[in-house]
Amino acid sequence: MFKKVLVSEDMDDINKGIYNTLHDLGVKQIDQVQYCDDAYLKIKKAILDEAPYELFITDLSFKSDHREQRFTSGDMLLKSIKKEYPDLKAIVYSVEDRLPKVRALIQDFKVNAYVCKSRRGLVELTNAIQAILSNSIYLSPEVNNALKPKSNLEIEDFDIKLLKQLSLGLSQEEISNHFKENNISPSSLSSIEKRLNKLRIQFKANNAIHLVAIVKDLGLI
Amino acid sequence: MKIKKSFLFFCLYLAWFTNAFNYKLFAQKVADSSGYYYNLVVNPRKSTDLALAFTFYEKSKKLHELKHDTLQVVNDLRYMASIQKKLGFLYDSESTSVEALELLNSMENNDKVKLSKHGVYNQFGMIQREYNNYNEALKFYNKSLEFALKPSDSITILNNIANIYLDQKKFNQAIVTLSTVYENSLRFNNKKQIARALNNLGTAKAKINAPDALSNITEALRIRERINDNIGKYSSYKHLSKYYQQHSNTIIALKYANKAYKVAKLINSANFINDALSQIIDLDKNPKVVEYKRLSDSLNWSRRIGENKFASVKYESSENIRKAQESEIKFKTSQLEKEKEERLKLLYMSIVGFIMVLSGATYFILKSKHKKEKLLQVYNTETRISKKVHDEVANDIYHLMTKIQGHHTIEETVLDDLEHIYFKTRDISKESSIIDFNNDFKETLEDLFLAFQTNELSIVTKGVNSIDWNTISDLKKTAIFRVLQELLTNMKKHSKASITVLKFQKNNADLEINYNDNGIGSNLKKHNGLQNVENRIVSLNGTITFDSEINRGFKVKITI
Repeated sequence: MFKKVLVSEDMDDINKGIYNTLHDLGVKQIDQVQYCDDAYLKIKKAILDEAPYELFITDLSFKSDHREQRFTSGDMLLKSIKKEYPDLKAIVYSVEDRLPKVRALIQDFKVNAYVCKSRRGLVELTNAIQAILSNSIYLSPEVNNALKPKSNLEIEDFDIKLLKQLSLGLSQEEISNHFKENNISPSSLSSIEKRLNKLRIQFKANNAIHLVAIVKDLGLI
Repeated sequence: MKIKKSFLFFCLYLAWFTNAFNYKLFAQKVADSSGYYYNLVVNPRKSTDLALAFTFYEKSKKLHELKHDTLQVVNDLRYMASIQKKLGFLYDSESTSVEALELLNSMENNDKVKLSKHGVYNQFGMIQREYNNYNEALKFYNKSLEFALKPSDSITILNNIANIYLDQKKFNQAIVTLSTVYENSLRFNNKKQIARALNNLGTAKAKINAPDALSNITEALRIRERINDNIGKYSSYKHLSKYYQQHSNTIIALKYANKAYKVAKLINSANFINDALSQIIDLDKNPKVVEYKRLSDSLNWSRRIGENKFASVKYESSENIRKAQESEIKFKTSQLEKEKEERLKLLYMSIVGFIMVLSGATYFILKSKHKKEKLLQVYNTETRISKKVHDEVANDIYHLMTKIQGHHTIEETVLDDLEHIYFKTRDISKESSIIDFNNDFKETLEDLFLAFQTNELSIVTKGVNSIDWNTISDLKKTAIFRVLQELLTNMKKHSKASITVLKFQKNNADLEINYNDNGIGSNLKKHNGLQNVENRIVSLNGTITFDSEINRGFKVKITI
């Protein structure tokens, strides 16, 4: 378990919840700040003191007040910190659930986990810490799609042709032959089988007949 | 009377000849084809000669008019006037001269113009003389003198003036004038001129029976014989014949008359021959011949008067033509003005039309600009409120949720309700959250779809990649994003669908989006969300149709 953790969060009650969760997990030193600039200074000082933080948990949005800040948001701070100290593990704990933002934080800023503030937020935070300890990345279920490949969404003209032949009652083999004759690629039996499986999953179909029925209903063929 | 008339005519003819001869223009003309016609004018041999010459100059005039050679036009007019006068059409000759003078007055007063004016005024003088308007004739001759450039020009005019005095029987004045002419002639040493001046002086002196009259005339003849000036010789013989006739010496008079006839034959001019024969007949004592001559002269005279009367009628008719032409010009001018007015009217109308079109176009441009600004404003307001709802309300609710989570005294249902409010708040915020146009819009859309993708719900897209999103305006992109977001949110909330298909395709300039799900469908009562969807599309001149039946899924077709 982490021994030294820094939490940057400007809401007292949320802080309290995080503190309790970390405490329950057996974290010895839990430091809490309410400004990003303070967090930055604390991280730097700890490194100079040769007692660096092992984990940094931060919100993304902070209410601005009379104190002028160098870092006005968690994103800005993370960008700098992860560049300077890539070894420092970081968890974002935010109400933000837009996928591009989550993706950017994970992929570009190398944040280790993204936990959405929700009723189950603290439970997910625990899961996130566990995941990081086992060197994997954690995303709350709400934003889990952020790292999924987008190409899975789109079906191609080839898929439509395939479904069309299927709807005409052709077997996979017959479709393969038909594609070969018409110079449609890929036309190998294996690739047709592979593609049909993918489509079945995509359209939640139990079998080929079901698949044809679904895509017909949806006006794709 | 008759004798005097023909004599004067002859003098005049000579005067014109000499006068004309002084113009270099004439000298040039002799060289070319016009020289032939020039001879016809000066020395007509057949009755048709003058008419031929007139036709030639008329044509020549038109030609010069086309070339805008005004001075040549004036020249042609002067020949025409001369011919008209010879044919007895005095009024015509006068109006032709007026035409020439008007053209000259429109030009700058250089030497050539002055010379032409000099000639035209001389012509006027000669015409007035024909009318027997001696005072008028004198006025014109004096006017002509004003434009004389060389002393030789003045001599011709002075000769003509002297002729007027002779007509008026002011012999002394004529003699004074002719003496001046003679003295001037001596200075130029032009034998022909000297002879003529001397002859004229002698003739005038003979009128008052001056003693040196005969010696002047014979001296002139001697000069003319010496230089073999046929026309001059003719003049001298004729005057001698008349002199002796006056002094009742018929035999010598007849001798000179016959000599004159011979010279006239040599000159081969009908005028001269006619004139000579007239003199011979004049001297005949045969009473029948005398009677014939008298009758013939009187008939000629009355014919001439008739001609003049005819000319006067002709003049009036031509005057009428002129008036008609003037009125036609006036008519044409008024027509032109009318046309001009019409054109102006058309111009003003087209200007007004143009302004109207312009203002209309401006109105629509401003309107569409205003609309865009409004939409942008709406977008900005939406995102601002969205951010506020997200950052402040949602955060505070979450804050409250965590606060009461630890308190075991508060029922779990309260927390459930709070969580419900929390999600609602976030949905509201998301509905109009800021859209990132900096990134590829395709990715933005895919992220939107991904956000709705769960294990229970498949989102399938077709053609997102095929659209060039850069060609679509941000306003349209905003509308597309919001509409799809709204449709998907609705689907998630109500449809219980497991599959949603989104098809994108480009039809010419329009983007067509088809939404299909396999959910429970609806009875299509438009709730707030769908109304918003429709408003967004319609505000961008797009169309949207909803199609659904219970248990038959939900279909939307958007064209934008």
